[in-house]
Amino acid sequence: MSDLNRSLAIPSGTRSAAIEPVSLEKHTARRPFPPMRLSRAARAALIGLRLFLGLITAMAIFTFLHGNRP
Amino acid sequence: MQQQLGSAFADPLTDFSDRAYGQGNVSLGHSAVKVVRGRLSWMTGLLIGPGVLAMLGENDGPSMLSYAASGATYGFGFFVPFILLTFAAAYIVQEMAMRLGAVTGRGYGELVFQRFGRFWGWTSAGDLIVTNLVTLITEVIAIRLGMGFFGIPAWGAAACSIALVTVASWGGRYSRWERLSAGLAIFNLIFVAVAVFARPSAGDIVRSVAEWSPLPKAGAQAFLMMIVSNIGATVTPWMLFFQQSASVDKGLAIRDIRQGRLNTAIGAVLAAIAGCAALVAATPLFVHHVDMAQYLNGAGFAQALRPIIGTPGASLFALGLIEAGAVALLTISASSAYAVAEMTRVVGRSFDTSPADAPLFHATNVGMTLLAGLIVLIPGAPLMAISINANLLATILMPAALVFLLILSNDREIMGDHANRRVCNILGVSIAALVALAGTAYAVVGFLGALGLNLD
Repeated sequence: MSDLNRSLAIPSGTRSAAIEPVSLEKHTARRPFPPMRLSRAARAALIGLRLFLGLITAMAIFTFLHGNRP
Repeated sequence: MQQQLGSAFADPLTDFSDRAYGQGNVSLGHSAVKVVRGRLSWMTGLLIGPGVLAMLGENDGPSMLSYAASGATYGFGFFVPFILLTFAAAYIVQEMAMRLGAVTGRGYGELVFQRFGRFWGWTSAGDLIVTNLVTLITEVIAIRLGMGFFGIPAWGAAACSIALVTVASWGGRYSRWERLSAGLAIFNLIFVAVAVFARPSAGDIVRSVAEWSPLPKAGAQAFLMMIVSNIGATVTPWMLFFQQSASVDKGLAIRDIRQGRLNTAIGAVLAAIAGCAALVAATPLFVHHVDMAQYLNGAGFAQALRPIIGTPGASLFALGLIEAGAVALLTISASSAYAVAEMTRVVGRSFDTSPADAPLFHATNVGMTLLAGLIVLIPGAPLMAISINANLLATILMPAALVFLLILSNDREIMGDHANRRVCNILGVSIAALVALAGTAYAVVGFLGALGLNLD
């Protein structure tokens, strides 16, 4: 396991919900992972993919509405 | 064996291990009984894990209708092997989600939020909520179609749908919710019985798988629609959110990864069998050249099949549709609830919490189905068109979820030695590229067709 996981004290390998008592803290007692450092190129690629998917979603919605017009 | 018994996959109902009942002086006979019961517990646990639920949950109403439409339109020449291929792809994707959950102890939405920030977290959750709502509408439609075959009105189907999700949500235990869902999911194999009623030629099926033929003769748009619809029937965003979050909710840890893989593989095999069976069950409609347009507003395939395979077979098909819709209602509502609770970082985000302790989680779980049920009851709503397009929407939005999944499962900071290996990455990137290509091709061809530029 990575050093980061150890430092975050993820109880991996010890958790077992099968007989674990119910606890509200089960999913909240952990510190969040730090944000990933993304390069500008990676950010641009993600935004580009998102815009592209938005475009083809809009095309599919147009096709759907066109095919179901009264 | 002790490691198996100590895993999150041990079913608490049949777990008679020392871990569950304390260590004491037991005779050799008792030990043998305990080992047998322990193995039974482990096997039962494997059958009802998140992997099986995700896979059988994805064999939902629109998916089974999509498989049946493929069989009714093209026979089983091309699509039986294609369905097997898509379930192999689903296994690769879902294994990554399970591994991420087991190693990090976080759900998919939570990880995207933490590692990529608020914008991408909410964008992913937004995609999920939209596709889930559309898909839930189609699940209620499937239940309505199935119940319509038995003369139950639309409002009865909507009421049963909402009641099912409410009852399942009420227990305050993940294991109870999981057993209820798994108990229903196993009836997905009803479609195998329907396929037997259809009396297919075993030789033709084997030949189609071996030779991937005959290729269907169809126009580009109709064929692409069926391809994309079948991809959306097996690889969808909600499955990632669901399997990763449910793996965390079940308590999967690193030592459970092997069982998690086995559980996911069992789910893929069962779902592939049921999916292919639905397709085979509808092939008599292809053979008899039945025009499905006349059945679109009634009980659909079950009604169309009745004169050919008889009332028992048609009734089973209708029951299968009800089951497919019911299991998907449970799992897709759950994936919405996990996502909303993870994104808002509320305290209660588990079926292990009661509605009083986790109001947002349970309200999202039930509220999504309630909304879907009400939309289905709107007079004149284009239900069949929504149903057909639900899988298409899932396919179009899937590449974004796959890209985040691939980045996260390669992230050594959080995955350590459990990050993806090269083969897994090659397969994962290929799947993402093919899904994106299929979704784009359909959207462009459909768009051009709507503008009057027919490519057929």
